[in-house]
Amino acid sequence: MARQDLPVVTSRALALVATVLMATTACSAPQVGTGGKSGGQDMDTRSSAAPSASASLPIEKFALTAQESHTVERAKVLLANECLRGFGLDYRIPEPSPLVVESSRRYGIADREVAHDHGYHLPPQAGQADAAKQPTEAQKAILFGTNREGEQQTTSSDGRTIPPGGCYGDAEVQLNGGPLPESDIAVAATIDKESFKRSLDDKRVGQAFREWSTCVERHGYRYQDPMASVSDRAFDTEEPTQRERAVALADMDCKTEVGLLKTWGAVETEIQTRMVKNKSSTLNRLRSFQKRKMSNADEVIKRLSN
Amino acid sequence: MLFVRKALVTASVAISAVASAFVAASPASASVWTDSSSSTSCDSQCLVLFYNTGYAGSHTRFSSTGTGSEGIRDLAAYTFLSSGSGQGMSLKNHAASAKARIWSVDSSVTIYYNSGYAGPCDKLHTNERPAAYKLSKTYNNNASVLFRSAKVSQGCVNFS
Repeated sequence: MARQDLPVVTSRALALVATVLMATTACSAPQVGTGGKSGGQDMDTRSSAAPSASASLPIEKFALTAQESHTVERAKVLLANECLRGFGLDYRIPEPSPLVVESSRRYGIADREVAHDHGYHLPPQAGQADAAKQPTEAQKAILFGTNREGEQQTTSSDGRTIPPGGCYGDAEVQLNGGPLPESDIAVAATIDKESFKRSLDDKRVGQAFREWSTCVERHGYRYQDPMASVSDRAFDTEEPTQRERAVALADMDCKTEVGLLKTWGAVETEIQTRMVKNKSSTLNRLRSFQKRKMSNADEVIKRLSN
Repeated sequence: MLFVRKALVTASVAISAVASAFVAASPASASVWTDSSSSTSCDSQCLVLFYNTGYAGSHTRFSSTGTGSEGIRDLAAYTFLSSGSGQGMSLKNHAASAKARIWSVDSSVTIYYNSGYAGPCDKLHTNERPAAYKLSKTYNNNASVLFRSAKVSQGCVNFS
């Protein structure tokens, strides 16, 4: 489901969203993102933290989506390159490569195709940073504002002032439009982590784990829960073995059979909804910051691209 | 191709093994190696995990070649190497802060709550030397680490 931009988040709206989320059934096909204002690209929206195909977790309404983060990155690169030009440097950061999205591993393996092809291993990454396009040490001092030892560089070799964080760091500062709301971010991050922790103690999740474990045993494997199977040391190999792929497939099929992802997601959603409600003014303030940042990014892209 | 660091200790040796200054990499897949330096002046990519917040206490540095995806699937086999509070403790679930050197704008290092690169995660990537004064979702809940050299979004919730 494409992430909706909510103008004002009230606790009632959140409660409604939670109800809808719990009633939603998993979609069978990947969904196309809305593309966003900056020209979109087709994107499997399973970039959400929640592996359940359709629902994202409540805290994600106070976070940047993968597409939004990518937009911010594009703007950052444009600003940084403008700054580099100002220093008379030839070097430019290359345009960020297209967004690649993999399904979340919050609940272990959650993508049957990946399980089939790669077991518990991560899919091999598509592109790779080109070593030849990397800046020199002198260029990096201006680009990042530090030397190789991590010491801040405040002046360029021809006497110009380097902003803190260099051109790249300064681009982020400009997009932030002010200081980073660190404590608000910490509140949101705590919810992301705490709900996961508490979900592990929830009776419904425990029950689902037991059912999953029974199912997996029918396939011939012994694991207490999906965290045990994804972290099995036997799979610490360079390439996934046939057995690993078989276990990962059984894991996925059993998750589907007992509805584990849905149950786990619903429990976390319930926990997060409560926590979000408790911190609604902090989170709304965080959301305002994020919206300003994204609007700054859109403006920069409009102004500086092509 | 995904290179995975093999566990250093053999089955017969206890996990909380000798806190030696430099742990050598196994020849087959020497793509992530550890030492006790706290410097992020490494050749390509490195992550230093500290026992205390604010980059204090004992620490261990993980370095990668910076190509492909490379990681440590389970931090249980590693300990805090340098002198300082927490030296000798298991790295797993005991890290409070982190510093990294990420050599390209597409690269990142992700710390995961669970082994096998699973669970909630903290992704460090915003600039050359990203740092977490206090780890966010993986504070004292860090079980695996993954270096990437290409831009991939995998559901690590991003609040900034």
